[in-house]
Amino acid sequence: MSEGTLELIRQAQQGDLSALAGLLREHYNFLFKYLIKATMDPSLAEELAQDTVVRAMEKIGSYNGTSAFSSWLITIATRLYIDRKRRWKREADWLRQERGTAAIRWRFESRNMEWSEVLDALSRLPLPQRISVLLKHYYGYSYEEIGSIMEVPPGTVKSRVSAGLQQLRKELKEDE
Amino acid sequence: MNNDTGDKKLLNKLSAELDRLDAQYDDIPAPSLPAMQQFLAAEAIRRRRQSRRELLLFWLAALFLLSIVLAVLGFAPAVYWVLQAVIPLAALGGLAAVRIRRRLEERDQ
Repeated sequence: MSEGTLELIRQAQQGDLSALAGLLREHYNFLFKYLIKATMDPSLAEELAQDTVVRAMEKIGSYNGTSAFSSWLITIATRLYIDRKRRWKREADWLRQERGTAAIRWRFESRNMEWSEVLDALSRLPLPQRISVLLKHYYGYSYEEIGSIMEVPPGTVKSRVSAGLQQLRKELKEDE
Repeated sequence: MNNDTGDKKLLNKLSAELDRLDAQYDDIPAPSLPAMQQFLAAEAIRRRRQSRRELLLFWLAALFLLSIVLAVLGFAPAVYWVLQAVIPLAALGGLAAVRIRRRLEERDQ
């Protein structure tokens, strides 16, 4: 973490709202892009990014610097997303997911770019598997770190990653 | 060996596609600093109001419950002791039900 970021964190923890605003703004795009990939739904990603900012403001005093600030935000955002999914009815959840993927597909197509079958298959993975695969193989977190983000044992993360990759392989083979 | 190569190919493809997805949202700007400050300030005020309201509700509910408990203890001590046993049991049962439901949801996924 840079000295500037550490200084902003220190000031934010002492109640300086503009330091906190600067800190969160600095990480906003990273957070939003993580949420796009985790949710595969741009409007949900935006809602969750705002909720994460609010939660980070409430909890900034408890941030102890043992992980990077961006990892701390990922932890908050992931837990908020899991909590929100738990409250949704299954059918509404499915519809929302379809709408989210359609919005991303439209963005690709409106720029004359080909939609990706890999992303399509990724969007169909169950949430715990999708986030585990993403954090492990895109962001490079260890099984232990992902376990602490998602509040499950590392062994569970390992089996989710393995099941997720197996499912991706299967879907991509079927599409070929 | 073949499986390893297949995995590597899949992971490379996955990373490349996720990079491509990221690039689709490169042009979305982060909120400006004044906008972020305004948002946080408004949220801080909303939270202060909400916690004041919640504290007031908490005190009202606590006073209400305390007066009921004292009244029951004075007029029907047996009912009071039965309630003392039943309420913790109901709370434990509720917690167990939530835990089981979460496990089932996780297994379903």
